[in-house]
Amino acid sequence: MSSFTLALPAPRRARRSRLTVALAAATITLLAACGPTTTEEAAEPVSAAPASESAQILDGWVKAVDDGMTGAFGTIENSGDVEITLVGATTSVSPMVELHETVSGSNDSSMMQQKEGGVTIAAGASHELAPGADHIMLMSVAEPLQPGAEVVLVLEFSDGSTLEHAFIVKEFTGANEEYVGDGGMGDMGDDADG
Amino acid sequence: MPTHSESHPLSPSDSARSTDSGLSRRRLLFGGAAGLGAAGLGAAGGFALGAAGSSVGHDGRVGGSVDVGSSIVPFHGRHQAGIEIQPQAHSSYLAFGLVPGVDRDGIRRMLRLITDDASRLTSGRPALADTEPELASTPARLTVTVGFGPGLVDRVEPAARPDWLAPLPAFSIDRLDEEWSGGDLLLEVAADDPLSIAHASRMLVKDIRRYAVVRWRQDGFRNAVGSVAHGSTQRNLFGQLDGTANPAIGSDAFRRVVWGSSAGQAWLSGGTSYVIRRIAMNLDTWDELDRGAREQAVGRRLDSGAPLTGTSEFEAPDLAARTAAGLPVISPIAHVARARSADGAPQIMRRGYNYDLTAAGGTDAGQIFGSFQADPVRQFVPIQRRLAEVDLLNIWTTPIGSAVFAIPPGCAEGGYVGETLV
Repeated sequence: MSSFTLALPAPRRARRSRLTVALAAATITLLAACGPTTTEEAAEPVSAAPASESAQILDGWVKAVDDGMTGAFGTIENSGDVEITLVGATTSVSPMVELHETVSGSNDSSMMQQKEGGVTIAAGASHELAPGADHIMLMSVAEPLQPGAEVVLVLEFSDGSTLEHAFIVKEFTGANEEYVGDGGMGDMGDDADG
Repeated sequence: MPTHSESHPLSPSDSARSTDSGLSRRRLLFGGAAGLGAAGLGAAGGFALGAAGSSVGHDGRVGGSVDVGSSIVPFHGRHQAGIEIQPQAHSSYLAFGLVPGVDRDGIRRMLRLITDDASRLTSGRPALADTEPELASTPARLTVTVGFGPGLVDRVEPAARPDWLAPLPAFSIDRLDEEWSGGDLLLEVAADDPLSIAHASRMLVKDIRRYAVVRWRQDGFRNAVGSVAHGSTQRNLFGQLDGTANPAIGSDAFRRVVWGSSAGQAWLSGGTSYVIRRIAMNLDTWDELDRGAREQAVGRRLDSGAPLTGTSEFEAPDLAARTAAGLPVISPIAHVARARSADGAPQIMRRGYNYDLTAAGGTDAGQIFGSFQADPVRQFVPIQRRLAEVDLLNIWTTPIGSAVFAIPPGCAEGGYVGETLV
């Protein structure tokens, strides 16, 4: 390998765009491999392609946790011509998964709650799932999610198509918003912080 | 080309032995020709430039217009980044101890995290879950080089540990402190901007804390980028040009010395070994010497770095040369004479970073001495033995830390550093 400096700003930008292309190619390969599914009852109107083919997940990660609740984060990019809506997700590590948003609670605290209607990403736009913002919530992790491991999530879009993506588990001490749900209150991943 | 090991100043500190060997204080102070050579930095700058083939402008600056922050060293490749490179201005060495109970699977997860963080941060992108992503935008030639101590390899596969992956033999000059020695895992984080290092090391430390905790940390510095011609030999805190005899980047000698056969361990193909020693330099007693005595101690001129028998830095020293009075021009116990191998060929690739922690407790300064070589027992230990036996510089230098790491090969995109072992 050459360990030499690529010093000029211009080449660096070029390199980045190549990187983006490479990432896109990788995602498309993944899509082909997983075989996105489309159901008969697809809710989206005139869409040319399933949402899962327009969507890419970038920088996906999950907060490490021994058990209980934790969040999945990353950026969803929509390279298609119509908006797409993420409506849910499934994973083998948690029987229950919800889409959440973060809102201001009492006493200046932040609170999470289920996001009604899912997460809509406009055509050509991207949407960040982040601590303190919209995110995917794994509600009942049974086995420890260890830093550096991968968690596969299957994202479900409103047209019924699905996209499988591996999220990397990271130790993270933020994302401690209180959760207000039907089952009472709790928060993410406290037992992973020690 | 002269040996590179000769500029490995730092070792022995057995002043009694040096005195015994017949060198009087008087000769130390007055002996030797101390002419002021004229060879300057210009020549030195041209040297490494051509050898490196890096993107260095004709004015000797990185990137021509000095965009230091955006300079990138590619992370992926057959060899790890950060080794065959003109050293960055700053380097932090972090040695970790594995957490008890962490097994091969845990080590693999840890290595994936290190690789993911390093590949992103060195290209100027935030790490995953980076809480300070803005700090990632100026990599400034950031590199993260991963090394395995004996403990890590033993935990994965004891049979895969090369014989040389062990503490170095004890040398009489050593005054080693556990605080600066050993370690299961090394991360050397280097860049031309210390803020980039701070951010990268913070991300790495917190991301792997489940598996490994910091055992020691050493921070070192060289000239800032742009202060001296890129690639020129730098000075240590004694004012000596230090590293003159290194094999040039991209040369056959570099390939032989650093990437040569690694004692038959297939997983180390494309890798090397790394000796890191902390050498305290006694600046207070060094102050007592006049210029001639200082040059006698090393056998080189302070201004040009030329051997006392020559006029330019990269000239081979003539150890047989005599003065009119019949005395050796270069003392047989000068550093350059003792460090030189029999045939004068380079045996190791040195990389020194200065440290200075002088504070209320007094002077605390020296060098973080780094040495890359395919086999430290075969290549490094003989040099260190000669220097420990006798070397004038030992009067003012003391090794206070020592560690040996195996440097696994690099990885391709999608892979991880250490995948050939773990």
